[in-house]
Amino acid sequence: MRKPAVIVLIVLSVFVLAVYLPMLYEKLFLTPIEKTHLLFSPVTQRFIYKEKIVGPIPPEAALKAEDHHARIAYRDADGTWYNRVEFEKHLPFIYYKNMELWGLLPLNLEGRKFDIQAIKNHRQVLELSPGEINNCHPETSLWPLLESNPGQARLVFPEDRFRMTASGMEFINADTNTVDMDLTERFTRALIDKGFVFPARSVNGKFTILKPFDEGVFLVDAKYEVFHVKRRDGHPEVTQTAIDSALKTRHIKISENQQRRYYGLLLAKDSGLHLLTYDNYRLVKLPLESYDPDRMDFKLLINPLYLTAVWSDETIIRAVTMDTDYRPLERYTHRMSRAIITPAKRIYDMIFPFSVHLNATGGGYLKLSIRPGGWISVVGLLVSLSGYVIACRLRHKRFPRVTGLCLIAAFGLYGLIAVSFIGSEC
Amino acid sequence: MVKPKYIIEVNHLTHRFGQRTIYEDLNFSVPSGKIFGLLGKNGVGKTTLIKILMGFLRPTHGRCTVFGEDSHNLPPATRARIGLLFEGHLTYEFMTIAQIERFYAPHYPKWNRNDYYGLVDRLGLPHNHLIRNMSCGQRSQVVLGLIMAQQPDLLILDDYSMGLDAGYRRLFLDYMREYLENGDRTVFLTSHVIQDMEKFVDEVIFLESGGRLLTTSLDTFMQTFRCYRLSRNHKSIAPAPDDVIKNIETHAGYWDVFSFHDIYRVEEKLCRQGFNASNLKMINMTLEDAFIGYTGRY
Amino acid sequence: MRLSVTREGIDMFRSILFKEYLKIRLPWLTLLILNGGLMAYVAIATRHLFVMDHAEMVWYQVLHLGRIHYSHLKYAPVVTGLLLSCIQYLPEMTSERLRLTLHLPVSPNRLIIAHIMVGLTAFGLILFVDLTALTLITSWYFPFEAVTTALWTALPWAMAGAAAYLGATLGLLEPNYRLKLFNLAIAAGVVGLYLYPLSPGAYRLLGFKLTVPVLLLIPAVLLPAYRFRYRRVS
Repeated sequence: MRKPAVIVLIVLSVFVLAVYLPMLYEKLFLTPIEKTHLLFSPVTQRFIYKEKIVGPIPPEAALKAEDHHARIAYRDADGTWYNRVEFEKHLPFIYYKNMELWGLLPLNLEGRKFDIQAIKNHRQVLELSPGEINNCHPETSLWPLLESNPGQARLVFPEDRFRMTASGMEFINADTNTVDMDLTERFTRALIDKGFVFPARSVNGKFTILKPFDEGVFLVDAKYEVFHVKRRDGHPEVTQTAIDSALKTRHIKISENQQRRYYGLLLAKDSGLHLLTYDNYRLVKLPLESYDPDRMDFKLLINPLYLTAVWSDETIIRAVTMDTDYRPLERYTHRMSRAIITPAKRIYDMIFPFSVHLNATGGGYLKLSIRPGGWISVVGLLVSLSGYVIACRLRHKRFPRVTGLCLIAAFGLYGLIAVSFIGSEC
Repeated sequence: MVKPKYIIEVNHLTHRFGQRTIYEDLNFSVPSGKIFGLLGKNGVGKTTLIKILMGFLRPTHGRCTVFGEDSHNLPPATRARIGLLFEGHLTYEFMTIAQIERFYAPHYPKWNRNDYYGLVDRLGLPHNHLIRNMSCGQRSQVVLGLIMAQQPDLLILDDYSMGLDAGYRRLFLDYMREYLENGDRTVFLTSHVIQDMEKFVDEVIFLESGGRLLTTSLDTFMQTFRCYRLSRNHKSIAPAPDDVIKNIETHAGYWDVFSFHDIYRVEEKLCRQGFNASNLKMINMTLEDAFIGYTGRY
Repeated sequence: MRLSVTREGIDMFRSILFKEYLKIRLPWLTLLILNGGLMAYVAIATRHLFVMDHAEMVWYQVLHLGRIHYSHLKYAPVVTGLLLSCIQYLPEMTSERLRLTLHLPVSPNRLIIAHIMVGLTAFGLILFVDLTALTLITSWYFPFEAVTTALWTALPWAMAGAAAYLGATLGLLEPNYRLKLFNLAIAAGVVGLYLYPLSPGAYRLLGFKLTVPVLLLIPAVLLPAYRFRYRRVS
């Protein structure tokens, strides 16, 4: 039983070391670098971005730098460098408050005039991150259905929350913690009357009172039909949308913006991302390329002239800009500065043959992933092996045991640490 | 069950703690049915030897066997034949007299609870008396009772006398003697109190620091080991021990010279070392005197 | 190792159970009462939430914003596990009394496994009380979905406690100080895996994978036990 115990302890040690050593190294030597801010300038009609400079600061950046902010690069797709003010002036729809302060409003762009109200009326940002997609994050499956006609400025939470059961929409009263039979019956009936097939696949809504008005929830039924449900004056108001069930809607991110142009974003099963418009639930498919909703952050920036979609994984950021008719005008792909291999990252790859990560990105579920270290970790393996051989020759005046060598060859630094403690038992 | 000739065999045993050598090439064997006493001063490695014999410590070199099995790998069936008294009458003190019997009993097929209660009841304590609340002497009775109930073929008693007054030491040995009457059990015990060993052990092993040992019977030892007194003046340097002189103890006006040889050999040796040994005379010794003479006072 | 259920096996286990029961019953009961007291406090604190705010707002905070109304429980299993290991093995380590048990005519692996089973059962009973109380408190004030979330949140904490118990045992039994520290460090690492500051229920997808490190600690404890039993010169 000793041998299995040794094996188990070594496996456990290697696992624990592979979780914590890389984590410690990251905390000590690797600075997390924010993703690049990529935007489309309506002034130059070029993509423009802001990102942290990794490595030596180029003279252009130093020249444009404001006191201690030399580490930030403001550049565009042509490689032109800007300073902060120039950068903001190139994005007048975003920094419109500064434009106003600097006396640059109204704007004259493409022969049109935009005053502050015109800008405000058209500005909108829609976002979707992997962690918030249905079933990708821990959620207690009980939702509030707000009163859409509160009869006052402020929205309030109702006294109940609902759950979707196999056969109904069930309301539970928070004061009594019991099912509200009446409400349940009325909403279930209303849904069934409109052709809703239980059980529901997803409940989509923005469950907060910190929003200008309430748009209710979008329910996806068993047959992937999408229903829009509201509580108006206490009564159910159900609309079956014309959204194609073939899309197999995965998620709808509701925005509830005063402009009432878009309900929000709709993610289909094929990873196609759509704008859900107020125009009788018409969908507009966004012309994204290489978009993976489960790995990438997505952002859609809307201004009076353009819609710019930006999506990025850990290293690459992509963008497409569209005119107001959603026709793609220009695309851009950029390798973010955070992807640059610094000497500290190179050493990381060298010393850790692999690393175990337990991450819950974007508020999602905790996931276990093992990242292999790549070919350069062979160098680390060889250093660990020779270090072990030399230490054995010096301390015990003998060649090390094969078991120890195998462990180090397989687990590198982790193996070396485990063997140097438990090695005598091998 | 096959009875090997020797119950315990120690061959070429070497043990070190770091740089310190405890034994170097130690050899001895304990025949079946005998009572063996391992005697030595504190710190010579008596407990260490017991730990090695019971497999709690793996020696640096050499081989020890108990009932023919490697001591570091004694199978449960063999351990069932060994009654072990740990140094300091170690036991689970949170148990009562009855509870500890209940704890041990299921492990030993030959368990005889009468042996246990026969001994422990003489203490006159209720069975729900906690061991924690007992004196060292009372505890030794409980521990001895447990070993006896186990009906072991080999009893290993590590420093049974520790913490016991003369009365309890006597009591302990009396019970042992009674228990061992039929003579098939082998006993290996360690002690630093030699007086008690008289008329109890068949043979003794004197263990000295560094692992030198002498296996003998106490009678032979007393017959052959001698003390000779040599007068001295204060400034002179003491004679040195050699192959004839085992040990020298320095006193105010004389030296005591210990040897296994007769007075003529000792005199001759002393003369060779430049001492005037004409007034050398033999001194009568008690067993304790002889033991201290043999092992040295320090 | 043969772990078949034999008459001797049962007797052995009962004997160890008896010894451990006598040794730990009072401190164990104290731990149980302390845990019970903590859960009573959780009940009071949860009730207080509803006194301070409207029920639907408390529901919003707990069900939507991920407020953990039983956050006081987070480190209780770890502390319980650590103390339980100390209660069980410190008396065995003073004067190395464990040798008394290890001299019994039973394989040391079986003996140690029996000790660990008793310890884990004692720990499990306390945690059962904690989690039952958590279930009762949560289901009194919230719908059953909240109970599921609460259990999926507290279960990793319970695992952390089991890992703390086994890890402390790993450290206590190991005779060599260098290795003792190494074992404790590895065990602390395992405990840490279950205590990430995450939103409620975030461990859920890991499912049974969650138990693997704790389960591995059980056979791992046999190594220090072996090293204690057959102390080697190394």
